[in-house]
Amino acid sequence: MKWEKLSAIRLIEELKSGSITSEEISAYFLDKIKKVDRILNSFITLNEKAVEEAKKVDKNGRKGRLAGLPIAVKDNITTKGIRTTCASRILENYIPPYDAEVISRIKREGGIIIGKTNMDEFAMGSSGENSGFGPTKNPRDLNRVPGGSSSGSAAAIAAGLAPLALGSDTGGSIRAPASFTGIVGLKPTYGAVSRFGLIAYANSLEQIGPMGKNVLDTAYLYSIIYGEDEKDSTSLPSPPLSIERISDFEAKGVKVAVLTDLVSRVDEPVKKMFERGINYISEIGAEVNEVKLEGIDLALPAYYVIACSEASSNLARYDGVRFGVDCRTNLNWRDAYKEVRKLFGKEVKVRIMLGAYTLSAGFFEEYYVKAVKVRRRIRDGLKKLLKKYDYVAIPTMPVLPWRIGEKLDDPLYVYLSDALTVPANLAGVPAISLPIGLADGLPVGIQFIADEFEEEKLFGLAKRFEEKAGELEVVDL
Amino acid sequence: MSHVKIGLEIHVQLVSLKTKLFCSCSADYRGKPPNTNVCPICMGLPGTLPVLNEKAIEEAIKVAKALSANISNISYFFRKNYFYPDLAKNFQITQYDKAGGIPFATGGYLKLSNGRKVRIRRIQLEEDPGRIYYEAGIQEARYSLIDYNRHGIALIEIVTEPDIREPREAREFLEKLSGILEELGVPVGEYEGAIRCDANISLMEGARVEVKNITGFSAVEKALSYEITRQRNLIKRGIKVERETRHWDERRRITTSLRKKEMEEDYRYFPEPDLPPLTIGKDVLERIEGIIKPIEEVVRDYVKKYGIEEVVAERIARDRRLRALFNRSVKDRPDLARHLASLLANEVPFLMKRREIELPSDTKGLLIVAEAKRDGLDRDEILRLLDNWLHGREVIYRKVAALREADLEGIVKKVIERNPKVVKDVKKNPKALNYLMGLALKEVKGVVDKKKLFDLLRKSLGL
Amino acid sequence: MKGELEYLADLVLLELTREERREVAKRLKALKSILKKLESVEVGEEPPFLPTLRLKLRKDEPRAFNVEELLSIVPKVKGRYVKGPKTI
Repeated sequence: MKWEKLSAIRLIEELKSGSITSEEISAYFLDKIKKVDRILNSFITLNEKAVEEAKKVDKNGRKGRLAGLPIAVKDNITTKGIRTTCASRILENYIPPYDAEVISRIKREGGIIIGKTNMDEFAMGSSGENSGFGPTKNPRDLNRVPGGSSSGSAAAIAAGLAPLALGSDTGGSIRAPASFTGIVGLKPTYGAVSRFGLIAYANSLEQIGPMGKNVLDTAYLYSIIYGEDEKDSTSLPSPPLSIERISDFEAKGVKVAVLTDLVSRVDEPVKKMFERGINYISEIGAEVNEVKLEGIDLALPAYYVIACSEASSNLARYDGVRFGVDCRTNLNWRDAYKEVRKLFGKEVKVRIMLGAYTLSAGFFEEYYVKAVKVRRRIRDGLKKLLKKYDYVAIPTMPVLPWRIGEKLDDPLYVYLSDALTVPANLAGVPAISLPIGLADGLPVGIQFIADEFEEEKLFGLAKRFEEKAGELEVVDL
Repeated sequence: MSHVKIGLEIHVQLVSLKTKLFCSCSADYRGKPPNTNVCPICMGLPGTLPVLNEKAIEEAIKVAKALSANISNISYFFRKNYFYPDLAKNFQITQYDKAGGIPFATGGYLKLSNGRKVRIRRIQLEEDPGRIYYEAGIQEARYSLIDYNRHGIALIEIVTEPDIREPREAREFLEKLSGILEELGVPVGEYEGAIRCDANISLMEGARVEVKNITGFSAVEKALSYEITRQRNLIKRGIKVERETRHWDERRRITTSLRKKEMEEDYRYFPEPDLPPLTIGKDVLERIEGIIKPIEEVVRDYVKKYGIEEVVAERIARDRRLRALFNRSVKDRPDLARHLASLLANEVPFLMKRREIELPSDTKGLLIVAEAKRDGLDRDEILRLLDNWLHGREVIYRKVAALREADLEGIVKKVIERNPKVVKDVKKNPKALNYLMGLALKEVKGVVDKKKLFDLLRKSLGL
Repeated sequence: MKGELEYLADLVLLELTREERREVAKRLKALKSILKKLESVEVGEEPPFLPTLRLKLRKDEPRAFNVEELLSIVPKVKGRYVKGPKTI
């Protein structure tokens, strides 16, 4: 049986019915990872105790809503007893003594953490190439990038190495790889999912989110991780989410706003696919409106200022004293810290330095303060639009997945590829990416954005859309 | 001592809290083995988030109120970014008054015994860093040893305006502050290192020098005196005082240069993204007032414990400043409780209504007035003494031996003989009796038991 | 640019190899070109905060963590102390 061909929801049914055990399925996926991942490089660490834990779940009657299902977790989400590196050499040996809140929730529902997935170091990147453990490859075309920063989680789903995965999205890090690998990924409303245990890149922008082969799988994982957490001061209660209501969602008459300014600037193959997507939206009975959103051009600069400012402060704690790779204590503290911080990759250094620049006296007003005010404008603008329309629709990525290494000399190209995903992070609203189809054999994703805490509504429309566009098959490697 | 300007930055540990500011680790760290009161949050592990201690806000409100500061209905937490081995995250969560920031409270003051008001610039909440130890001296150490038990302990920082003019005023300020804190249930005096102070000092509008590492109130006085002499000598020799940070060397009793402050260190302050703004609503403020002490309970306590009349007790209990003064003074002299209560409930408000004056926090003068009242000094005299106390002047009262019975008889006899007309009226007109009593009191030099004198007068008049 | 690069790196305790310096400079330049758009933006007087969330508070009740587990991941210890670098 090729278990990876089944949906996660179906697998859970099989687990509950007893036609398969958690031990079998965990061993199956671990085995597959060991075979395939030498090519793909989607995992950094495998959970050696996964099968053991699966046995325990079996013994207890496969309880909980995950009933022993294996799940892949991005390596910036803290897992007790399992090495958590953020794809950084500075955390090469870091084994956290506590679980992230989302991990506790998954365990409580009988989920098995199968391993930790590759990513851009500290979630800084859009291609998966900035990993201290080597780049992840795109299962749809092994010469191309899978998108980032949740590159490993997306690649693992697309290649059938895990039924479900967790990613994190600061400026598109779930949606970009979902789009590039042809899977589904949700960036939840800011505050909907606890960030406790998510290793911070840019606190005010990021959320942990679910990734899956299809909309309902993704919604199912989301239904397990969302919810207020007293350990996260920025978390908020969400309305209850129902998979049935998502399945029965009525798309007729809902209003979708297409941001024409943004669409006009994407690459031709993407534009063509997006037009097909617009047709699907009409076909499912939704109303398509072409609108403009003023000031959306400022989203990217505002994003980079805020993200890097926060990052420069967040990443100060990596000094080799309390955890991670050790520092040379016989040196003066400044020299000792500099020595250990050499282990950061280039992109991390660039963003820390940019953040130090945008926060330093003399530039703070010009950059940080302006960026936050621009952010508020973008949020207000988008929320106003979402009062009038039910959804905003835009492509997820403005380009097709590029060849690995191809853009090393063109950093601007890579930075600009975040332009369509950052607005949702700045505004704190939820956004989902799902495949429209293939262009030249490469996946192209569409992005739907809804108002805060309207995840159910978002999944509902996505579900109807998916029925038109079709799921992309898991790649056999 | 003219042209001396001293400002203080005081760090107060909220020792009344059971847990740290942003995590649930026990705040009771003194005497514990190193790194026993720690958790992933205060060790700054990746992925951890701060959650604010509710009680810390209550305590900060109490302190701000006691210093008459304005509590901000919204304030923000900021990150102060700098690297140092005692900081687990290499930034400190604090508050800030620039860059759009608003600290917990602003304004307020504390009055010194000489009447000078030392204004408070701001009061803010922040976390304490860990502690660094060295096996040998700091100079010889080949590494540092870090204990994070103190890391994350709740601090409030109180920053004053440069309103202090003399080293001993700085000391008095700290002693008073410490007294107020104790009164509020934050007994900083009982814990080593729970109140720490940095001082800024400038002479003749010259450069500002910051003196750090001063522990103990008398050390503040000594360090500042030393610094004034040092700067005076420099000025005398025509050398410019440089803006710098100096370190108080308790052993050698001198200040030594720590680093030149040519440039303000770039702390890259920005709003802490993990903590939404702190809003303080009216409901919270009112609740805190309740927590400080339910008034009915205070009144009941006063009546029971000191035998004070209920009206009087209530008048004191309702006014936070009167109550604080009463509590502090009665602690030293419970025997004077009724007189203190009467002064605070009647005479003090009377005088304060007549003139725009503020209550001093000093209780020494008040106790002297209470003694005089016990001895039966007449009201005008009492008011005069109280007025001195209210204005920060010295209260002098020399207790004169009470007049003997024979002396009183003499006075009464004299008054009756000299006012035959009034004496005749006495039976018809009750005012006449008061008039005679007034005359008799005028004859008294010293202290007299008024009741005894009055009884004697009535007896002699056959009433 | 080179002076600024060194200044920024030092501020956040980073050191760049010769190869890194070239690459970092290139990427920084690309990012700064994006940031340039902000320069012409006019903004109002509103405070630089997002007004969205309300602060969560925690009860003042102690909870102990397994500190031995915590100490076991510390790279260098001396007794119960965490060993850190020299401070001078």
